[in-house]
Amino acid sequence: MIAPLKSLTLTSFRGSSGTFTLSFETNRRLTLLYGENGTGKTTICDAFEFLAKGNIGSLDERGMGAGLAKYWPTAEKAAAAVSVILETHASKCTGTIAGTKVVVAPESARPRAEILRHRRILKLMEAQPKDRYDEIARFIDIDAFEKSEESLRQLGKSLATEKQQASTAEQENLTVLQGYYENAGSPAGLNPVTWAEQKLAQPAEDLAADIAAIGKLRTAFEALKGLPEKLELRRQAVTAAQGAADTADQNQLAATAAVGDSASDALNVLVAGDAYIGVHPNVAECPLCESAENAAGLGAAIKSRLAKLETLQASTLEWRKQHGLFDSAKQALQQAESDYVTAVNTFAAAQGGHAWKADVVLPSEAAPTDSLGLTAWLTTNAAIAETWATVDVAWRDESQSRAQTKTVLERFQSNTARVKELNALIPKVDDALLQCVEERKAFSDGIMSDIAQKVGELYDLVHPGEGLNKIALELDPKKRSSLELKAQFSGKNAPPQAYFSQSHLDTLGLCVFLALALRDQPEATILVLDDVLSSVDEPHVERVIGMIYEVSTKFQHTIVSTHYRPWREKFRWGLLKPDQVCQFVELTAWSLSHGLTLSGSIPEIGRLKTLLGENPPDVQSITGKAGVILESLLDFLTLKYGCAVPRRPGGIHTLGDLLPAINGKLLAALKVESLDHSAGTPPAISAIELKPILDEITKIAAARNVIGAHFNPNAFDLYPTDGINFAKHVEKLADALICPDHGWPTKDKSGTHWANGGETRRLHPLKKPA
Amino acid sequence: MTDKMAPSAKLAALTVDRLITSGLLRADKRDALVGRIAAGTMSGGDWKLEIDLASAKETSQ
Repeated sequence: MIAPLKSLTLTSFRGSSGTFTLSFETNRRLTLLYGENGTGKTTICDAFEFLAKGNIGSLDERGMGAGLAKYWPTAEKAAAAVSVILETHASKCTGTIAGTKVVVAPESARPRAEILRHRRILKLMEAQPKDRYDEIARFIDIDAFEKSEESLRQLGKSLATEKQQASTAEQENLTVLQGYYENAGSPAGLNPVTWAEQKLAQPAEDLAADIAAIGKLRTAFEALKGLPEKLELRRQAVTAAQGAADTADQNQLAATAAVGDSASDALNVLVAGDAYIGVHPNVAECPLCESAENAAGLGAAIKSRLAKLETLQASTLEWRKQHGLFDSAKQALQQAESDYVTAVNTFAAAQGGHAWKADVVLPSEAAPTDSLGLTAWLTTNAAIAETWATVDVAWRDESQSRAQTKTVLERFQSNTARVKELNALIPKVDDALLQCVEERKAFSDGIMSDIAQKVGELYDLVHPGEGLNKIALELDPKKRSSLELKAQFSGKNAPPQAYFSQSHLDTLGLCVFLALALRDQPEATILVLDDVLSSVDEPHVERVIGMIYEVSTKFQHTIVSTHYRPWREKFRWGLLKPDQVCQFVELTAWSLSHGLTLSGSIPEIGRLKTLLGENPPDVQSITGKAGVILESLLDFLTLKYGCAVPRRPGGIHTLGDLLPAINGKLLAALKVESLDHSAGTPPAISAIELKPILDEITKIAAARNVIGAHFNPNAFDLYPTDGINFAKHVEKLADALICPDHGWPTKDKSGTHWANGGETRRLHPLKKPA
Repeated sequence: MTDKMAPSAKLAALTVDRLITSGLLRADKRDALVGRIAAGTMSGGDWKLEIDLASAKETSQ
């Protein structure tokens, strides 16, 4: 529940040079701010915009450029002095200026407000469709939705492209398979696809095993081919090494014989001694006999004896070398013979370890275990071995062909499946997009229609028969964010600007604004209409006022500022729409020193009551005020019952004309029932006969002219109480006829009496008795 | 008369409900889908996945 407004206090803000407080009356959700130009109406409207929107729109578009915040304070006041306080019956918020920004604290209490000024109406009606769209964008801003919709649209396009590509690839794959199929001789009963499927259904492992087996067989045969030469070379090497070893043996025997048998043994000892002395050059004794006798010069003695045995030593080294080479040659031969056995076995395993196809020719005999027979065996089987290469190549080609067929077939099948999948998916995507588009259009059109309907309803209140179903808002489908406004004029659809008067356009702009404001949480919104009636022509003003009254019931609060004087007068005389209560605030002359000032906002009858309550009473003022009120009451009664009054220039009648006009059966029948609905249902009813009141007034009516209207020496002879009595009877008559909340009994819908809007007054009779 | 829901969200809700009725989206994902569509974050891949899954669900039923 949104709390009612309590007060608005402005300090150093715009026209409020001091501190100005506007208190809002309880149970009054409509406040009328009346004042001549320059009395501060707009300052109050600005205050709501300041709090709600952090700006003052009345300063915009006045050709002052940017940086308008410096004009927010009253002239010569600092920004820091500015405060705007709005108090409700539940919260209070304060707006101040920080730099060029408005700070509202607490933020949670910041009011919502919709501000309409006459300039904004002009903008709404005369702007380009694009600018007009900005006013309603918040209600139909579906950019985010359209972004998702666009994603769906792009998906549809990409899927269509993908399908096209898949179809093309599918056809290309089929063409390639057709070629393979024809190369294979176009087997009967098959098509390229079934042929490829059948081909690939055969186990691929057999061919791979054949290729591997023939590879091993060829390798094994090649290994055998190298062995005869290798074995021969190894045998020759052994023979040569054996000859060299034999020669070394003979040389060794000859050298030993030359120096004696023992020399050969001593040579070993001397070689060891020479090595010892090399490591220990200063020996003190012989390392063999431990005698120190010949220790000195022992090394030189050993070297001398070794020199004598040099030939023996050289032959011994040669002998060792040749015998080592001979041993190596024999081992190499043994290894080659072992390799031969291995190669023969490997070939036998390669040939016998695979189930060869019939077209493979193999040796009829196994390779010989004796290497000496290998060359003949190789010669016998050389031609056979050459066929294996051809078979190997054919098999490898077959394997490659199979791999290619497999790749193409898989691509063909994949593309076929994709086309099928897309054929199922694309219609669904297209359907989803179609539904999105339809919903979006219906949604936007629905909002436009709702707004136009509301505009029409409101416009019809002002211009009966011209609004309903005759105002249309249309989004131009060819232009993004463009709003066209259309109306029927003499049966033709046309932009209202083409035929409407400025007054009609202003009214329409007001209706558009109100219709939009009503869409956005009106119960939590303060509606501010700042002097929007300025161009409405006289015959329609009352209806516009009535329409504003009606709309204002939907908002948290409505502020209407006006300098339209008849509105003030209608309020003063209780002639505003009788079933709508409002607070009337009148602003008087503004000055920089005093700022905004309020005058009484009391209706005339309230003023009379105030005058009667003063002590001492101002009899002349009381009588004069009562006379004016009595004239309005009698004017109402004589009009309602069609009483005969003298014709006067300007239609102005005096009490002397009006009082006698209510007479006879009508006077006797006049009765008011005052109903008090606060007492429950049914309401408490009190009946008031008007004849006694009018009779009494008639007796003392002269007091009005004598005391209240003119300077008249005869007044000196009257008692002041005559004027007071006159006024009190007028007050009594006014209280009987007029309800302070619901006004005059002007409705005759009951068929039996006149009643006011709140059914708090019933005036009888309905017709003047014959 | 008051409409506190953002236009995009309201339209997304209407559209998703219609697409669910048509079997093009899954009912159990309604709120998440409304949120993504309303926020403008529903990509083409998202649309495809959701339509695929809704179709698969419908086929399996």
